Amino acid sequence: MTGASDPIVDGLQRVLAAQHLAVFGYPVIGVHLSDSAEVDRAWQWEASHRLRRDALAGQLLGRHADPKSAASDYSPPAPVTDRASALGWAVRIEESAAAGYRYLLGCAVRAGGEQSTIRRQALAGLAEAARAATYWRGLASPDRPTTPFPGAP
Amino acid sequence: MAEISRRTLLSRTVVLAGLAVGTGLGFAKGVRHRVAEPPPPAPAALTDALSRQQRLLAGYRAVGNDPARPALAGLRADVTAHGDALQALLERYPGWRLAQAGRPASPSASGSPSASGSPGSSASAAPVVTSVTSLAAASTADARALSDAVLAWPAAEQHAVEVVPVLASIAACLTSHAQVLA
Repeated sequence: MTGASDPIVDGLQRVLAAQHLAVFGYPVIGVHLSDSAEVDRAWQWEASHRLRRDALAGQLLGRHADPKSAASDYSPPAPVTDRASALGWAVRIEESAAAGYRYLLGCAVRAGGEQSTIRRQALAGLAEAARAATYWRGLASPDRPTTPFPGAP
Repeated sequence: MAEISRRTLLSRTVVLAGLAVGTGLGFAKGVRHRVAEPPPPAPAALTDALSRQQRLLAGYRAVGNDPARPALAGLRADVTAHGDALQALLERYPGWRLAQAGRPASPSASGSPSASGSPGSSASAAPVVTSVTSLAAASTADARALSDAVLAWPAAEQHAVEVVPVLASIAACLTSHAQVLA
């Protein structure tokens, strides 16, 4: 099982890698949050990423491709030692997910045809990641919670 | 009078006959002038997106700054950046460039609030929003329109690989704007 020549498989693997990162990262982030609303959000999004990860693995198997495994460890861009650094990593995790979904969308276009299911999946994932990133970014810097092109390289 | 050989006479006769036949054929053949055809216009979904962006930006300018909402300036900057990106995409289409060259003053993406959208666009007919609540609703509506465009954009269209991800990112951004403005 390879599926390496299928652009959709390539895109799904990229999104899956981002989900692995999120599933690893959110528990680390949660440790440094004390506000119950923030902790709830972290749990919510961790569960959501876990569901997406499993669904993506199933999708890849359905396309006769091997889902990539999680790495043994993921390093945050800066040591996560307090709330501020935890928020920063949460933003990076969601930006990574957004980038994966945007990449998947490009793959769907390159694959040709309508690919409406994949396009819908990528659009929904991109929007969800943008919302989550906006939430975390807004806690850290309320005057600049958004970015103009979520997922853009 | 100089004498010419039979061979020379014959060859000249053949050449003249050939010229006559060629000329005759030339006159008989229908002449087709190459007329420059205007390039096709840019996709309506893209010009519509620019019109919507301009209305939204006008709305942000009408609302102005609100100390209670420090994020407004950043959101407005995002919408301005969307306009620049949409303009850059439209520049890829010769039909758009030609249409812009024919206009006395092209509307800029970050232009004045009164800048109108593309002629005939449904978005350009919408009134400018003047409250934060209306901005949120307009952002949601625009995100939905962009998402529809992403889903409907033909994969075989020449600039699809560049256009579709940008429209999707703008849609996601506007969704997050609605979240901030809610």
